Amino acid sequence: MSVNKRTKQGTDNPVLKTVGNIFDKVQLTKLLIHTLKELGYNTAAGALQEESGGIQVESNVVQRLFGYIKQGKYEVISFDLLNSLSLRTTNHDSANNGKKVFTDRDTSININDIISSDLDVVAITANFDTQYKMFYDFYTNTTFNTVSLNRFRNILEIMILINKHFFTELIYEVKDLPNAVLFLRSIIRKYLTLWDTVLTGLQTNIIDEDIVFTPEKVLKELSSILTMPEVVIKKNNSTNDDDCTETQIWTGSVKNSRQELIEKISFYINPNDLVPQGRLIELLRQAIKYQRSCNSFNLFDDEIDVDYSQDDPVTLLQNNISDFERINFVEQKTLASNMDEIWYLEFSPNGKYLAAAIANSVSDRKVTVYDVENDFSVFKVLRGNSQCILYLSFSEDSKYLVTCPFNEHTNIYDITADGETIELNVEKGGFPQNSRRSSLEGGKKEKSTIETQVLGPIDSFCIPISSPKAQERSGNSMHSAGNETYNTSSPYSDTQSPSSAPDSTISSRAATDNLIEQTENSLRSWCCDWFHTEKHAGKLVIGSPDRDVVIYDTKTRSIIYQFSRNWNLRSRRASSSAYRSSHDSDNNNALRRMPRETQAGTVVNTLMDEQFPRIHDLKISQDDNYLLLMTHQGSINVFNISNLPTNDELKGLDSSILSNHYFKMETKLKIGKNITCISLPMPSCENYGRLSSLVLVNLQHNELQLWDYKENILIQKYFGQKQEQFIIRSCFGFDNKLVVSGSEDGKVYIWDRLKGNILGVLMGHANDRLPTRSGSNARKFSKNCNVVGWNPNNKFMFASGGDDGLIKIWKVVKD
Amino acid sequence: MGLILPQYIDPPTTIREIEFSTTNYHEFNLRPEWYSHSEDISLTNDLIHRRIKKFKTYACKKCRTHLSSSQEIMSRDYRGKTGDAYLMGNLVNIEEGNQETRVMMTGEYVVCDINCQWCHQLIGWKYLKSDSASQRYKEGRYIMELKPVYICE
Repeated sequence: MSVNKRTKQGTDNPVLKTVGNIFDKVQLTKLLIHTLKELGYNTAAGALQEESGGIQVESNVVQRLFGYIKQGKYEVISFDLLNSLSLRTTNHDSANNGKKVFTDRDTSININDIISSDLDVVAITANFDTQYKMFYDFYTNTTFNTVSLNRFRNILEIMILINKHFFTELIYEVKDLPNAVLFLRSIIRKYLTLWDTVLTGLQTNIIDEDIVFTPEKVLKELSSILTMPEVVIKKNNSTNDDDCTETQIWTGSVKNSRQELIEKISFYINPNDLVPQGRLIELLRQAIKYQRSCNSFNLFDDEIDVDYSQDDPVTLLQNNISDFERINFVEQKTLASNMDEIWYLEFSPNGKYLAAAIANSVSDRKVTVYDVENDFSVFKVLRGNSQCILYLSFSEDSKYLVTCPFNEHTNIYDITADGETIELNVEKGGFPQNSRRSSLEGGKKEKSTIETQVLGPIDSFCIPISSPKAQERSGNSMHSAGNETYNTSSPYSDTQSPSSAPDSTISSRAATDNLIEQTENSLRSWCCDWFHTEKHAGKLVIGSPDRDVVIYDTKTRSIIYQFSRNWNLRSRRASSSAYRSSHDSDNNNALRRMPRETQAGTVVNTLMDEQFPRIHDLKISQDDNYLLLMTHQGSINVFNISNLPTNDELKGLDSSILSNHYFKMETKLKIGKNITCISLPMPSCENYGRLSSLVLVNLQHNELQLWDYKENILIQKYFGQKQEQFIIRSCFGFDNKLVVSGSEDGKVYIWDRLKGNILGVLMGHANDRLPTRSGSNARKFSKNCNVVGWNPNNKFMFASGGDDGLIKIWKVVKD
Repeated sequence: MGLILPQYIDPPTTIREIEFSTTNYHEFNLRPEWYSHSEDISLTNDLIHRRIKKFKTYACKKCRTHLSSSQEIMSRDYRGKTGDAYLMGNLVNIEEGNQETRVMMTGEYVVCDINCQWCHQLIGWKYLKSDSASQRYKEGRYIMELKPVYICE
């Protein structure tokens, strides 16, 4: 240890005040002595103490106080003694609960191990009473500023801790219940009242419910000990098993509980007088963490914080900078069986399936589900969407898949069901003018056919327009639920024969025309998400750019809630009040303004102004408490949906009960630019608890932003990727340490989530292009990478999809 | 070609928005048809509400991407390939096809077809160049056919 060597040089030369010109020599020696003691080298510690000229880890006052506590001499603890303690200047609200002490209790302090159980109860009580008077006099006779009042509060809190401890000793050790009651009534109560006054004087707001050390809670705790001591002990033992360091009232023996008291008090004491426990270890941990963070390409061994085990190969003798453990990304597989551009793909929550939607407007088999574990073979093909699919979403149990086509019914599939078996032509794929594939397939130049199953939707529905006029026209055709037999209700099912792919082009086109007539009275559905928790299983939320969001229950096959209806009620109230208030403020300087000008700024269209926003993307938080709606105006509305009735509650109720339900809008993230996509962190990693309120947004002009939707703050920005006009989607990955996004130049960009630096740019979809589609209108083909998706169950795997019709599977490796 | 983030055309909410549509009609001494001189003097609340009521958004029938609004109508007396058509000041969310020269009733024009940006449905055409000076006001304007268009509420 280099530090050690330096100190030895320092002790050779006592004139040198500081070591290495940075550190105070006395402090360093204290730290060393303390660490030596902690390691069990008591003789060496004594020798060092002697050689350094009697530097003491604990100051005299601290030693005296701790000695008194150890011996149970509470009668000599006085206000003057406590007042001479040098205390920490920082606020202790968080320090005194929740800090974890991880050193061995028995070796930490050994001033005096004599434990005397003989307490002079009368003398102690008398002493505490006189000390209270001193406290009180001091409090009334001194004019405090904030600093000195804080100091007084800390001394008082130490005194209360000692009092509290003495009280528990009375009950559990001496078993002198009458005296304990008397003590609680006559003395502790006085202290607590004084403490309460001091706290009000400081205007400390105790917001955090978890803080145990407040006057009310201490009083409650002590009186509950008085009534039923055994129960309290039991309760505290059980909390100990959970390894949370709450206030432990009685540890079983006098020695332990006094040690506990000393540890509690030591949080108050200035570190110059008492080195905090495990200080050197803490410093070393921080140093190693820093060294590792220097290598920005090393994201692998942050595990030091997670399992800090003995056999952890952490070396202290050299810097922990490893250049060889760089993060890198390699292409694992290319899936080329898709016939057109990939606009959306998603892994199922259990990581077993990968669903991809193509933009082909010819075939109606637009969604392909791949089996991830079986080398990405085609698992199922889903038919029944004649228009391009914008969005897919897997249910939490990975059984159902919902698709949102352009302007059609939203379809729900059960991907575990059996469908009609067909032979899928991999090479030609049913797309006649596709010669490009042969080059990609490499050796397999012959047509290879594989057997797969085609599934129809089990349920299909659309969102009715909520305005009454439209409902009249649409009549009862607005909701066409599917039957048990697959999709007989869908208008195109009878014209569609699954085994004849070329014919389907014509019939699906004809079907599309029918469909337009039918869906003119419904809203488009552009995005959806399932509820995650068991209590809401089977429900999903669908968002529409036609100003609506609905909650759909797949069990009852009905729309149980429509956001826009209650929004109108709310906004009308809000806008009328806003109108009034703006009017009021105008009245003040109405004379100075031109009447026309005031009018121009004011909102004239009170019925239209606060319309429900157009929703382009939505997500439900993992705990089903928040619904995030991405609007087209560059904001994210966060709704609190925790009061939505659960499935069990809904069973007994009429569904109309929800029509007056009101969800509160918690926050509105004003992002200000056009957003194309939002995504939430992966729930499957260990650090999810801290990150659960993050949301990643793609902005239209070459930017990604990371927000915290509970705090409503911007956390990080990510640059480099290209995004001007297209909808590009992004995701979190690799235990949420990375942020991945597609780009308009066909590459996949990967950033460090925390630091925002680019870790990788993958040439995913930049090379290959589809041939121009037949027709006179030549389209300018771009080469976007539209979507990326991370496997929730395998943190090393992710997929990207682009305009070239390829899905690429990538793997994270150590280089 | 990925998904292009669409623009929306919403009814105006302030008087300023009503006054300024996206097209500068004064350039050619043209007025959109709802604009009359009597209104120019005072915009009363009544008139504003009438205008908002008149406001219509035109969208692609297939995918309902917004294309234009009633504020942009310059003339209703046109015929396209499929039937009636409007001359519009501006359209959004469209992609332009190849340039070609077409002979029409009023003369020869350089035009290009316009398609819906999302579903590539043919919407109409755009005038790029005109031979005669009298027809020059059409340059940069669009013909929107009514058949592939859907009127939003």
